[in-house]
Amino acid sequence: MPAAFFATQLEAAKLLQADLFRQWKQSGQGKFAAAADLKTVLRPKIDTVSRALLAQWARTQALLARSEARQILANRSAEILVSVQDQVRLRALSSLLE
Amino acid sequence: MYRHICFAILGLAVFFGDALAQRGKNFLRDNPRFKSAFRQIVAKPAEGTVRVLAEGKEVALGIVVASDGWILTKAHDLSQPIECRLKDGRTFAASWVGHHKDHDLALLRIDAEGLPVVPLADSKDTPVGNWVACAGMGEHPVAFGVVSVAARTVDSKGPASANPRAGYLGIALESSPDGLRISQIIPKSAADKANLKVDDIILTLEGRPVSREPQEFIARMQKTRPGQTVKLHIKRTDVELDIQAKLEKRPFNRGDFQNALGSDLSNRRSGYPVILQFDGVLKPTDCGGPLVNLDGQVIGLTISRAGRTETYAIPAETIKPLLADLKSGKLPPPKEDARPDRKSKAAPKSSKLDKDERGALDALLSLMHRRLALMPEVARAKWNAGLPVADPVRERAFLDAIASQAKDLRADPERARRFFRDAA
Repeated sequence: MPAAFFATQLEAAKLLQADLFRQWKQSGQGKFAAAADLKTVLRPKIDTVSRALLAQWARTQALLARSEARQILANRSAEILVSVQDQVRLRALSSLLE
Repeated sequence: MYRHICFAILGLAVFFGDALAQRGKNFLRDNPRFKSAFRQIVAKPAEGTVRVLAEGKEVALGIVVASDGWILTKAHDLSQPIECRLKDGRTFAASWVGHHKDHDLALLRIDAEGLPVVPLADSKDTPVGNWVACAGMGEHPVAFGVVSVAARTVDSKGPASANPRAGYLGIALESSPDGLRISQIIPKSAADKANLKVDDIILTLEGRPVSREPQEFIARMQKTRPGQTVKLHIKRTDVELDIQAKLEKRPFNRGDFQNALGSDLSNRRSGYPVILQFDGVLKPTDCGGPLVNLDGQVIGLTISRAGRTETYAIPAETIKPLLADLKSGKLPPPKEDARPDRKSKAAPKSSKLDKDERGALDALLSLMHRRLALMPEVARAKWNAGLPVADPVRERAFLDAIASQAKDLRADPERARRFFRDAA
């Protein structure tokens, strides 16, 4: 179900953010000088990507029923989601690999 | 004085009560705090530790011995197809390149580069009495214990503990000038019922001659099952007789019982030219991984859970000189054809993905990445606004919207067509 897939995207996103918050708390980070506006800039961007992601998720459903496809997805993920921590990446993938 | 004794007794009762309450759950080595003390020393070797799967089942751990895809593991439970799962979650089909039967080592090759190598040290620097830990795939060790016996030979004089599921005849044997002699018959055992007698010389088992040494006979009996009838040809004084004995279940013996208390033991537990013994409680399927000393040095590869508190490792200094031979192809793995029963069980050949299908998966991953790549900015905005990371109400609404959108698209193909075109 797409909701299950997106639930894991949210969880991965929160893991990533919580990790940053932890680092900032530790280093006593103050306010950031330049930060994009959440409502007017960032959420619309997220919505655009989410729509495309939903479409691509639907396109790959039949494919992901095949174990060899899930295998390739897991292998490729380490190369494509390269800037993301392992635990975040694996969380984002979790519903696809079940 | 009396009061002091009372307090002492009370103190002891409290102490034992507390200890017993913790037993089984957090008693000594199971205690998470104890485990986390070993986290640091296994951290580095764990990076190069892999999970080895045979026919889709987890059978062992393995270690990366060269960054271009060479993995060393325990051979005994391997069967094709073999896969290796790395710590980062990637899984690769593995080809079995080398097999050292005596040491029970297998060298595998996967199509990967830049893997973190597990460096091998020297077990002699970690004498008996030292703490050691077994690295696994996680951040905690999968077992730890104390080196109990330094590097030594475990020959094949029968398995360290007899297979408790093998058939049971009920005799004791000894080597004699005339051949393999029965020195004792257990009353009411299968041997007793079959009319075997003390001083009988066993000539053949199932039509095949037996050696004068009891070990060989015992090893062959290990492969039998209760209920099975075995044929023995024996010599009694100067008469030769054929005897059939219906094997029974092995009576519960204290050693087996104690060994079974811990958990499963490895299928192979003897016949190693050289092993290092420690008292860690390691799952058989976690053998094949690194054994680490308190300095974080890898002093061996775990090879067998041989008893309740006996675990064996092949010392690192034994492994190092073998690697070249294992790589060279001089020590080939068993041929699959030799085991026709395996072939039929193998999974149907998987069809390869075509270019479009691979592209579709890459596109999915790229979009997942693009979404996650926005999150540091989102975090900064929330940080500045003093907002928490989680927003349960918004998340619920988002997921509900996704679900209803998916439902609408299923119900309205034309809308779905437009959606997929626009959402490209």
